[in-house]
Amino acid sequence: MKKNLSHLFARLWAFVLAFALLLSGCGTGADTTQDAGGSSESAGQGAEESAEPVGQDTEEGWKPTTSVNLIVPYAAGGGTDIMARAIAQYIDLDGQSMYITNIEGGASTIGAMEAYHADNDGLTLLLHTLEATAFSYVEGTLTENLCEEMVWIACLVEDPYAISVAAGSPYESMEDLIVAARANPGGLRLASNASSSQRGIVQGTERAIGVEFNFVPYDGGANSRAAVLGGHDDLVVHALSEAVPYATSGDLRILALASEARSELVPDVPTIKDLGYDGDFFSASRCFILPPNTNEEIARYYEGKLKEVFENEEFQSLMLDTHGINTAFTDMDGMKDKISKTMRIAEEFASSLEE
Amino acid sequence: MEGVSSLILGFQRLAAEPWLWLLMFGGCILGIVFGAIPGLTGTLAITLLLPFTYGMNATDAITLLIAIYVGAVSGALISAILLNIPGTAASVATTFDGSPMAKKGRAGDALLIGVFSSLIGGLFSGVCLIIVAPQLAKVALMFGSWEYFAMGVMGLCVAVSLTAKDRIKGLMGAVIGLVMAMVGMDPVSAVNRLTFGRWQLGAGLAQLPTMMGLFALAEVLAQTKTLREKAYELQFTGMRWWPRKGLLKGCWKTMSVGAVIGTLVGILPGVGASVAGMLSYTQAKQTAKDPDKFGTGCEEGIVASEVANNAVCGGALIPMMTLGIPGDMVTAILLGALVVHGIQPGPSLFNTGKELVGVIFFSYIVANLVMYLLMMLLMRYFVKLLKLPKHYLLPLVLLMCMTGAITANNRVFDAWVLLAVGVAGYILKQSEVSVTPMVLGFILGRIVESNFRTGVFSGQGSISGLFQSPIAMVLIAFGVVMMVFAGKSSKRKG
Repeated sequence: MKKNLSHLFARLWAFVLAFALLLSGCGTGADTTQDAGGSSESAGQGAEESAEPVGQDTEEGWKPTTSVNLIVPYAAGGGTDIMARAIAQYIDLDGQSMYITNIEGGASTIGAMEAYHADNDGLTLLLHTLEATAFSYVEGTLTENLCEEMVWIACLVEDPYAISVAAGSPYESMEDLIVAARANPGGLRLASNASSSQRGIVQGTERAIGVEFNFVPYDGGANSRAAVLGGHDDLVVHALSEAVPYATSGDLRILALASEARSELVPDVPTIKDLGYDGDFFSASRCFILPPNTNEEIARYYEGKLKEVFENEEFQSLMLDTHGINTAFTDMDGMKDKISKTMRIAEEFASSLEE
Repeated sequence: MEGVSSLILGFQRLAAEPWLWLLMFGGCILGIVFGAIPGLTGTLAITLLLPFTYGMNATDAITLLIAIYVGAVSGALISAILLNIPGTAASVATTFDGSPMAKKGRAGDALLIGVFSSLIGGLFSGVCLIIVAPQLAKVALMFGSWEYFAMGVMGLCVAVSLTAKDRIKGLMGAVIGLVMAMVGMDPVSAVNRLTFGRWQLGAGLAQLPTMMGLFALAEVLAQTKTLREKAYELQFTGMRWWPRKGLLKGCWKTMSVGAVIGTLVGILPGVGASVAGMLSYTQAKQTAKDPDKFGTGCEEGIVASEVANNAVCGGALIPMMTLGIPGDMVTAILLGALVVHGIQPGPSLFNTGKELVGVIFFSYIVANLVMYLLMMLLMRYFVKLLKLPKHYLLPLVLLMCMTGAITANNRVFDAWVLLAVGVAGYILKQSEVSVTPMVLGFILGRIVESNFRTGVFSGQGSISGLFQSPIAMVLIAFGVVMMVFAGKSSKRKG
């Protein structure tokens, strides 16, 4: 018996050692990439050699030498993911490809944190919604201020928020809905993505109109939409891109947009402002972001490449006609104003929560 | 019969392009290999191949990806039967009877039954997909948060009822699984739980390393005890293209019920093939005349598990195509692939993308047939695996698990998850706590929790919605009956 046991332990140890070997192998692999990142970090503070470990041709500026990882902090198939895949298809990275890693979970903070902690060698990018990062930070679900610390390259898409009901719903217009909501405060079920920026737009809308809904959070836009299509909830607040295909097919009715201006995708749908209610509205701005302290040369490289994608007519028509997504380009310098405006709205939102 | 006319369009497309058949066979082989190797999964195969499909047209890409999908869910039965380690979580329930049967020297029979059942399950759900996809999509819409919650609770009851021998340890396993599911940010308010200050754990324990830790690593460690024992006797009585008469006698009821269970579970997003296999297995066991033969290597057990897990594939394609909601990880990636090719899944797909819908239908059906053909051709080589000495085989399995864990999300951290969960799983296994309820607790924990909380939000703090939903009540009643019934039948014997 004892002998058997010692045999067992010997074998167990053999396995553990084998694992250790394997892991140390992986560890060295990871270390080398970290070295590359580390040196570009130190060089990011000034020295020109910074690009050398990752960029081949220093004379022509920085270029990726391997394929580029674009982190999407949402599941495959959602609005952000659709855009990521379209851009990966059209972007020209001097012979390198862009692949997408969906790291979902934690209301989009996990993928964002993975990118935050990634090497700043220009080979990992994040595609994220500016509003989501700002709101999660002021709300405390995100511990780092990604708006300040990360390098924001550009924004290609501004997707306004829509208020929709199922085709069979008794509410024919936004006015109907407002009347019903006034008669039954907090009684109508509003399905929405669980993210804090969507909470923000819902709250902004409620304050503007002066009504209250029963906020029912779901994990992802497809699920909140299904809840309304299935008759489980009364209305849904979601990105317009998530509403348009279902409005076209006649399954959903878009009542209003919670945005500053109407959208050319649905010219007949009024904004809440058009109906006479004023407030702070914002769209979902999907931006490309690099890890903190990334060399500006790298950021400018991507800014140029993204601009090319934006100007590509095929990309434009794919976004607008096929996916129903509004495109709009904000460059690196424009991002600064955009970020500070969003942060202001988010902080007001947070302080109103405390009241 | 719109589905049938799409099917004909798909057939014309495949007939016109012989290149597609090459993709079909290649994808299927790749899927089978990834499915059969513990640690590698169909999701991984599809993720790795996705970039290559960007250069293809939509038809080629979808054909290839569907072939991999079908191959992978079927390939998992090979290692489940021959090694007692499921190739992917889909074939967990196949190990219950497949492995004992192989140990009795009937490995060939077990494989044949498994492959044949997979074919039937796949074809059945394929027919459902073609004929009643839009109607079945309504089933998915009928499920609100309380219905999903009830579904999860029923799954947990089933998991516990499977361990009828020692109910307390079954419950313990399920609770440990639930606790494992809680790690990370909670699904509604994004508060960190059980992460011990590590942000890497914020997304929870990743599914692949956790499952592989529990099934593969724990089993490998357990098998080290029998390293010196001779591999079991092997009887492989030549090749058969079809199960011989009498082999599947009395299994037809199990097969049809399993196919229906699998398709329905497939339609519900996030539940998955492993749950379908176990539900079908439990159902077969509870309604059998002689439940005692289950677990000793009976044909019905393999049939129940394999028919259901393959039927999930066709089911999962339904909400993906009609609602844009993926039924599992693989369909999530398929959805992405459609989008890349400028096709928006959803209600309009059936009008605007008729030919593509046809290609999906046709390649799904054909992929099942190709899978059967390939598995039969390769069968003799699979069985030879058994002759490979374990001191070569087991370290290889470990290596593959590590590779799979790291590749799945490109994080070395997940390798540590695999190791930790594997060692914990081994210790629990030695204490005779079954890992099956643990896995179900882990998979269903998130579904149960997030839907419960959404339901409570929706009812403004009240859970009365649960009692107003007939579907939810039926599901919960079914689960409770299963648990009580299993308890009684084991007492009767005891």
